[in-house]
Amino acid sequence: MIDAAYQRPHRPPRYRLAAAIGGGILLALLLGSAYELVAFQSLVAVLDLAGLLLVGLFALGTWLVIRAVDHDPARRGSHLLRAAVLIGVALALFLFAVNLLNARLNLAGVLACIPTTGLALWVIRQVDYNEREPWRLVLVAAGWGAVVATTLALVFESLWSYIVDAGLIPGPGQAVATAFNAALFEEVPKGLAVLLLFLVMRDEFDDVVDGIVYGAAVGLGFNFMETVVYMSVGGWPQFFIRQVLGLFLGHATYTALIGAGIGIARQVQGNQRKVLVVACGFIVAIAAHFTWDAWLWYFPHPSDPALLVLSIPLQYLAMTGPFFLAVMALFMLGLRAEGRALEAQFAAEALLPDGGVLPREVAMLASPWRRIDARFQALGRHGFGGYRWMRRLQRAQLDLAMERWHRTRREIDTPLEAELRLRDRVLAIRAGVKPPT
Amino acid sequence: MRLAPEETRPAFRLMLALGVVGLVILGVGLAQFITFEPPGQRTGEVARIVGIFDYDPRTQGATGANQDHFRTGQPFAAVVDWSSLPPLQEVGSAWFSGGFSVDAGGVGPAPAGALASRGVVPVNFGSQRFPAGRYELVVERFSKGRAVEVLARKTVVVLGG
Repeated sequence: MIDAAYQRPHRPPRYRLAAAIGGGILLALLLGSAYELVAFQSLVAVLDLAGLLLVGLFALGTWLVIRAVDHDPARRGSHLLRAAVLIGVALALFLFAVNLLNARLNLAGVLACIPTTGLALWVIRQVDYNEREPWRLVLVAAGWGAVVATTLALVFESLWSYIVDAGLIPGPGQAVATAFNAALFEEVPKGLAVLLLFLVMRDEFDDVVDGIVYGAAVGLGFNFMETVVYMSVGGWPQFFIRQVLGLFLGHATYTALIGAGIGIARQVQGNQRKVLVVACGFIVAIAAHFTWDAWLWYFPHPSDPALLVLSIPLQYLAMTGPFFLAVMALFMLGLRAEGRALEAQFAAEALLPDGGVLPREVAMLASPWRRIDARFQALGRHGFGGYRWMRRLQRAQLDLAMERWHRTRREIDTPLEAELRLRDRVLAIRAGVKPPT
Repeated sequence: MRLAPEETRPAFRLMLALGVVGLVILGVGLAQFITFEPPGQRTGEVARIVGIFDYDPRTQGATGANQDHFRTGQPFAAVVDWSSLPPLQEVGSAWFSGGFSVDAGGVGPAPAGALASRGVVPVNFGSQRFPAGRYELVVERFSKGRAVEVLARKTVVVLGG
């Protein structure tokens, strides 16, 4: 056999050298821009980094679309999903860069707010103890709040200021209009995120509890970016006000009210009642936000720092406190209904000959404390592997009971096979084999 | 199969009650808005603000060039051309400071014809140093002693330091 002079004549070796030089230029540009951003807070560096990332992500997304359509149609769905995620991340990065410019490149603020917001997201996810929402959806919700809702609010609040506020008489009327502007154009974009999750991710949106979790996550994301922007003007006191005092009592509460309305709609029969309860969630969230801003007209913040320290917590307690209590009441009602329903479904499942729940497990599964106790017993007997096994088993059993609950209430649009698959998954975990996908 | 609406009924009712509370709050806000921004008051009149200038408290006159920003120790005043309005129209001009419209001095209300000699409208914040921030001059039409229409407005920024 005679070797060709060029093994791959369409890719001569000099192309590798050119690609290496091109890659080196790109790397140098990225590293230089990153250094410039950190050291000098350079606007050009932000544009460079965001632009390069955007181009890269869009190029990758386009390549995946081409693969889906032309090169690898057998895996079309998977390629298109990945392309959609990449393009979504690219758009989110673009909007984040826009918000960061609005916040005068306050990177210190971003870094400071990540731990507090992250902790708050962890807390709201933990308290949903029966069936925790997947991190990916909680983070998508918070991301929407941080970049999409803030951008929409910025655009529409500015338009309102130019069109409506500019013609108003300074005084109480204008103060009301300003408060309404903020309430309407911040709550609606935030609420849309919860509504989209409700429409698209129905399997992970079970009831009022889930609605509150997703709503609060969106609100925390919004609060994150708003804090970064306010810190760029007001400094660290703004961090204390928004990330400590107002972490749960501001945007998280308002959007949780919208989420609660949508979560209740998930389980209410009849379209009219669904629309009514969703509308109530939006109305009370807008009203709660409105009272916060309207308060400042009647009780402006004092200039004396000592009085200011008192007035801001008082404002939170008086204006947002009652709405926070309402969210807590809705959350407790939801958890109680969920707990009772799950207990009934565990008991019904235990009666099946090949059910996913054993009769002796019903009492344990019905109580969050006993579930934790059972995990620690498994930890004591079989080590960390035993703990993980028990946690997986319990989660699969909870998923099964939740599916049964929705099917009993005719709130489900997945076929019966979904329930059968969940049961098979429980049985597979119990038998110690790889669960069916 | 019988459904179990009672599981969601308490939350549903609570949410309806909250919706009613929300409507009441927004209704009170709307009432306040209508009280202070009464509908049907547009006349289409426009007042002319000549500009914003340095202010000399000694001569009570405006000097220098038209500006859009000042420093905290630098007194300034607007010059309003009252002749641009019908002489009998009840009007006034006021400075507002900050996001919550703190009153910072003004002239009127009086018929536009009577204000001809009071075209210079200085900011009066009770001291020589004004807080930094945004200041807005608004020329308003009055009816029964209350401002009912904005005829012109102009904004300047006072810088700190």
